[in-house]
Amino acid sequence: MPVQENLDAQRQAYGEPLSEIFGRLRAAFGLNQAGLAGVLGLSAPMLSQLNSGQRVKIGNPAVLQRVQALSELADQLAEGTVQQQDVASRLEEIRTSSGQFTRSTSTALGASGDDAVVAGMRNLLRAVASGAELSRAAARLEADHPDLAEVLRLYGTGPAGPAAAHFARHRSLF
Amino acid sequence: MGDVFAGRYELVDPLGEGGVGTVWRAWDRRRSRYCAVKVLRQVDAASLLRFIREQSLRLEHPHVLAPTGWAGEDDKVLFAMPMVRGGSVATLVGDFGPLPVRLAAVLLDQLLSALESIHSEGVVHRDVKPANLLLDATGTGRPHLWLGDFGIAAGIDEPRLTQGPYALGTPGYLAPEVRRQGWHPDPRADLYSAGMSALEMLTGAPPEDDVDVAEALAAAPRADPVPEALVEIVAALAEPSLRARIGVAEDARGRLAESGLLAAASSDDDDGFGEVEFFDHIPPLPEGWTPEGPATGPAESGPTRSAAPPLVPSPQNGPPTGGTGVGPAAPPPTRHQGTPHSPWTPGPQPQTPAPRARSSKLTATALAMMLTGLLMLLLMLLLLA
Repeated sequence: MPVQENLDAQRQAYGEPLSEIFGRLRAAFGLNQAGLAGVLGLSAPMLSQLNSGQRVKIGNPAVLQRVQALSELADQLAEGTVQQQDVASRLEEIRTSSGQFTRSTSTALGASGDDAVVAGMRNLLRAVASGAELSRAAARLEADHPDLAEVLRLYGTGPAGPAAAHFARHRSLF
Repeated sequence: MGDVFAGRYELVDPLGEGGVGTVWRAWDRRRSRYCAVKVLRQVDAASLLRFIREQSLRLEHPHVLAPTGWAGEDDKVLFAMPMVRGGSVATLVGDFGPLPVRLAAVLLDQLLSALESIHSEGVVHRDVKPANLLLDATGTGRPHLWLGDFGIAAGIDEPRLTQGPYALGTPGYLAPEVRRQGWHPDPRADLYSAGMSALEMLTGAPPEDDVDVAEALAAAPRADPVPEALVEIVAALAEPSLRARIGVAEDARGRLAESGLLAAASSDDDDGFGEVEFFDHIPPLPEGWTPEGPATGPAESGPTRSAAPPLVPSPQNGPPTGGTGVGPAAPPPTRHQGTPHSPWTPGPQPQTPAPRARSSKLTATALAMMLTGLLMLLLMLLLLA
């Protein structure tokens, strides 16, 4: 088995051997081999063959797209533009993306756009006020302006999930 | 040790999620061999039970993987099937993307031959899709497909067998007349699903409802174009209109044969299957298990594995043929005798062909098991005589 040749071919096709890419992705998301195979939509034996250089290429273009999406997500996680608590839902999104260009690209764009806006709002609120301040402000608004109070609480003090859900519920209004 | 079901089937490890319930590897104490089992709730099992009672004895076919036995316990029913090691057409497409033309044609032909057989016995499968098309672990050899998961199969003469007006089956593969009107068991719905399965093999992606077959094939991310003849056959199977659809599996097989796509290429080193390889997808046995069954001797932890007497399940309302009905021995299907590469095990992968069609699907992982199989065969022949 010309493993070395295959690893060189992988380097040529993907910039580095797939074992390095897969290893980085597993470390970034705390996945074991089977977990990574599941997200990518590859069988465990196929992932193993690609990893060890017994096979050169990822034959399924949809899988290649998922590798790219995972790499981007890993970068975003490292930069802090994606929060740890959002990772599970993003992984699920990538796992279920069909790989058909129209479908996957449109959902991916829509979702990541929303996430960026939600993250921006959360960061802004936290930059101008502490969590305690935001809680007090929300309490004072509660009686007369409950919707605004909810925005302050959800985006200013809560986790990302409910904030993203709130954003998704309202985005059709603008 | 694992859970024991009905005193007979000892659950070893989960192999994967099925449409309903989990598929497990199990040790069949009575026959001393491994098999795949699925445990269903009684309510989900009704259709399959009826199917086994009425059909499985007749469904001996090299591409039909019907349950070989069942056992009941409390409100659960366990179905046993031979273990097929090579994953499914769905995992194959996941691994390799759009399949080479000849491979897709051969797989479609094998599927159609399974459908031809069950339809001639008056059975409609109703959930034909790539995930239910299982494969032998034939390595780089010729593929061998098994139509499996008869969980919602129905007799053609039994209208509206399962609950409700709602369509069963899986979106994307489900014929439009079924989605609109609910199931009147009709073999032509299986042919539609077969066409959609072939479409997935050729495009590398699950079909969407009401997809235009020719357009989808033209847009598929594949290196080689799909020959017009195959486009026409797939489109005539996945044809929304019942009147325009190919009506019987045999016709589609005839057209495939005429197209010449099933024949191997002239050159010896190109079988038309490209780089596709049929891996062994069954993981090695977990600790405490040997190819001959549960490891004997002192267990390192937990209770000692006592050899419980093999109990015969006494199912209420059981089929008269007993819970383990298997027909007489069929000639063994042709099998690839090579040594497929298995990344699971460093050693050579045992591919010992067992003497019977059904047994050959099992984990004949050692000579001892082969001998056991032979014994069982003799025993069964005696019983059946």
